[in-house]
Amino acid sequence: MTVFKAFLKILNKNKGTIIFYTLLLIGISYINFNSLESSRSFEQVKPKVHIRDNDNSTLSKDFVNYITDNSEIIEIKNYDEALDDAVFYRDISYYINIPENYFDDLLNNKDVSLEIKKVNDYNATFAERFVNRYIRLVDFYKNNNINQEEMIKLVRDNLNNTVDIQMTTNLDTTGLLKLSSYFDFSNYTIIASLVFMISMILNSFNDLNIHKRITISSMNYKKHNRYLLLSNLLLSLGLFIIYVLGAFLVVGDIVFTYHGLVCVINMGIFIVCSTTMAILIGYLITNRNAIGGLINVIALGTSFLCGSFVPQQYLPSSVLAMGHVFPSFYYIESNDLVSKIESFNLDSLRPIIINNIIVIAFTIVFIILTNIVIKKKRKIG
Amino acid sequence: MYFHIFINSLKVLFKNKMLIFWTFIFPIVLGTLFNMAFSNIEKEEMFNIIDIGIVNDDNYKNNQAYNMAFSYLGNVDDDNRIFNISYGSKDKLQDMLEKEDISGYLYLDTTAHIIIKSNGINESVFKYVVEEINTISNGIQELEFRSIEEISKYAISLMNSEVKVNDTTKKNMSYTMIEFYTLIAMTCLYGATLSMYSLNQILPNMSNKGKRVAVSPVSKFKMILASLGASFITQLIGVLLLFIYTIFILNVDYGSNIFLVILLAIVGSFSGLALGVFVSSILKKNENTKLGFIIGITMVYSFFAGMMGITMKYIIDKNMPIINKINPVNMITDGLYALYYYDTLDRYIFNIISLLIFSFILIFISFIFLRRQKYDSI
Repeated sequence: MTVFKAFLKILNKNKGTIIFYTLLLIGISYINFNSLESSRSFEQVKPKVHIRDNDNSTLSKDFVNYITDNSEIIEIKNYDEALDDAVFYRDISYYINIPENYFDDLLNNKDVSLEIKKVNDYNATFAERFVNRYIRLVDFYKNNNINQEEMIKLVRDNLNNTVDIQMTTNLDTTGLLKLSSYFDFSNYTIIASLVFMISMILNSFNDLNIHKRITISSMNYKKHNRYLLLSNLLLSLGLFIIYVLGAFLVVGDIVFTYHGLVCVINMGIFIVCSTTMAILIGYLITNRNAIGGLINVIALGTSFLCGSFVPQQYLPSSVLAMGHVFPSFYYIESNDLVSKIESFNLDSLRPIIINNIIVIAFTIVFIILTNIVIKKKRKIG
Repeated sequence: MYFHIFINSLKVLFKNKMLIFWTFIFPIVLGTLFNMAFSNIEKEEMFNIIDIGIVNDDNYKNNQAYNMAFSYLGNVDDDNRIFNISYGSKDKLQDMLEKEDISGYLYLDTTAHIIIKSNGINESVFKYVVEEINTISNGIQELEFRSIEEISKYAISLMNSEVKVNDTTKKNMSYTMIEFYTLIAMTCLYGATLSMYSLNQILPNMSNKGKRVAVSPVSKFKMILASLGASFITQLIGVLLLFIYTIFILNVDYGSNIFLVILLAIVGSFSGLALGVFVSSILKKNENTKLGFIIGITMVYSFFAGMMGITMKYIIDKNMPIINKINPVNMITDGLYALYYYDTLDRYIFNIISLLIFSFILIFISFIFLRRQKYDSI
């Protein structure tokens, strides 16, 4: 109990770290997922567009309506650089400014152009297709001497055609994306908070003077170590429960599906692995400041190289190859694989099981290394 | 005497491994990680050719509009084509879809049908293009053209006629640069750890060395000036190394006016120095607590300036601008962004002035706390 009390005392002093990173995980995930709507049927992607109509003609209004129906219209604040900032930061992918008399001049064969700003991405290319399709249709009917009233009707009739589209999967792809992204990001917060906390607590116990006092105390060192290990595991279990509850808060009841269950199991295995890594660092490094620096580098390094911040699909192959040396890679890959599983059977779960076995192998290596370090340190003492 | 204190302060700073790690090594490690993680992201966002399938049964072969449109849209000789088309039976294409070799496939009976596996931009573009082809087909039917040449002429005009646009997008659009700008800004602010440490060495209530210094017959002002001068020079060396690393190794683009970039880095480093002096004089805690406070607050500043997600800076700028208007990491980041993206200097100058105001306010408050400190016993 003495050991556990001391453990709790140190933990209480550093509780801010745990609270900060838990809020970071929930807060950032919430901000990122807030705009994503879950869906099991086809949902057309809507590019973000800002449109200004200086023409105000019947055709321009219809054009704006058409763009509005097919895009997500973004309002831009009224300051000079707001529009350019919005394009740079990808708040909008495409900006359209319809000049005065644009459609009138177009119908009268004058040389006119729309002012645009765009990002070089998929969404802008998509938005450009909307614009081109409408203007080309107007041009097409104009060339065939159709008058303006009839033209609007013909253009609209023509644009309203939709094609039958079927999805072969009934998975809630957006919900699963949120689920895997939340668990992916947890890699950073687990290492930055849990590994940091455990290493710091162990470091306090391993301070030379305290260590000497513990060694000469009446408590058997094996019992002392066992209590310490149990305390650490209890802390890990507490954080695990908080993160699972956090997942429920952020991504909803998808956590309680089979997909969610597999992600939760992945996290459980990874947290045990992280705990053993933390214990190793706590025993290996004596300088408290060095632990802070090292864990910052490990947390950020694994998160950047293994796909916690940027999805693995966007990482260059050389970076992914480097990521293979960290357990985080297998944890994150397993979460990503979960989001693609349609039916749960041994075949579909095999790659995830293999990844988890690798994480467990890392855990065993950390335990062995910790034992070697402890043994060496006892000899020196 | 000034030079003597200055040189010794420099030696003390360079011998402190923790300070050197946070101001010299950590930013370089972080920059390397940014470069690895973000090197592909803008390329991935660009429009790539979409892999699709078409069931080439009689229904498809007999439909002229679809034939013509897809042979144009999937023309392998055209670098600007949007589709890479696989033709085959429904079973073969279904198999390819399951393996995610294609985003979806099309088959025709009385109408067009698209089969996809999941939602996404590729699937949306595919569907939209098929609707466009229907548009062409409907347009031609409405006008009741007869000859193949006329159909072909109008189909191509509907698909490919030029829509004149005046593209006023600015030239420099690489938004991942913001990550590197926050890194420079963070390093400038990390300079606070150096000035905090230097000042701690001469404050009698902070260290034994400070007590000895306090009773020495040397002007305190001269002492503070020399120590802070040494920490400022050390900090500038750290920032300079980071600039060299990011420009020559990571190919970061700071725009064309490198002198203004350097001026911003100097003013930014000065604000870091001011923060260190402020923390050192206000916070009556031990050195580790002060170090933790500086690193923590700089991380929070960096978070709002976009280091952990570029859009965060924009979200704050758009919805709660006051937070970033008083955030020194954002002032430096925004100044670098203004130099990179805009042709005018208004925004850059605004950020420089904001940084100077921030720095002088901190120094003024610190001065009030530091002046005329005398101890009868300590």
